[in-house]
Amino acid sequence: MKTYKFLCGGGIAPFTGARWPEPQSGKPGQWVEAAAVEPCRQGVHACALEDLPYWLQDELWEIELDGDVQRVGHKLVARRGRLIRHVDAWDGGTAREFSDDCVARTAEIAARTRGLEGHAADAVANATAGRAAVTGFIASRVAELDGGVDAYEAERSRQAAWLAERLRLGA
Amino acid sequence: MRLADDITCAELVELVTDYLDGGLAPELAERFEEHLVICDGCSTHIEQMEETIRVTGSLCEDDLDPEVADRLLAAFRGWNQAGAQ
Repeated sequence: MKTYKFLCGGGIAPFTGARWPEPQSGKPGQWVEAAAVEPCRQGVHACALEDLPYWLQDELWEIELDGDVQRVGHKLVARRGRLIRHVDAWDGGTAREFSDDCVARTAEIAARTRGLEGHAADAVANATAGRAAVTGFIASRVAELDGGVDAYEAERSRQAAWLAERLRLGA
Repeated sequence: MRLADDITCAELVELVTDYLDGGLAPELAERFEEHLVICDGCSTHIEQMEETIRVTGSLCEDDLDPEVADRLLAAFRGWNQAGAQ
């Protein structure tokens, strides 16, 4: 299974602030090791293709995880990992395309369901501000308000499929 | 996250100390971080808390002017009494 990791600009992990060693000269980055695997506390955290919409940040990397890989919610955690390659197709332009797609999806649902009009405006505002993760969340929330929890999950899956196709990623 | 799993900003603020101490259950910590991805305000709050901890964590008791220490202690006593009302 291919696994992925979103980082902030400069290869910085969004929650720990740690800088990840990047691949050099076509070789994977150095291994990053944790003392133990405790989801959300210790370990190398990453995600699978279907989890991508939950964790959008500036940079997307393919990452190799090693050892026992545990899943908690929408993330994976392992004892160690290393960056394999930068997904160049994920950049500001693609993030905006993703946002625009989510805006369209939000507008489509809001048009048929009374009381959701404000969400469509929120989606536009966040897309304009460059907040792709928020725009994706709004589309999912609107889907849930319209069709229940299953619709939320379905919208997140649709977003993951969009990213997989647009970024040419494998599962 | 789905409505049923939502953490509000107010709830997140209540959980910050436990999160930074690694004291949240994994499922709750994951919901906490999902909220951070979509909330600039809470992300900023966390950054400020981490910076505060970093700065104040380097202070020793002896570093404090005794007068400042007395004022801080008085303030904490007052805070505790106010919370008991």
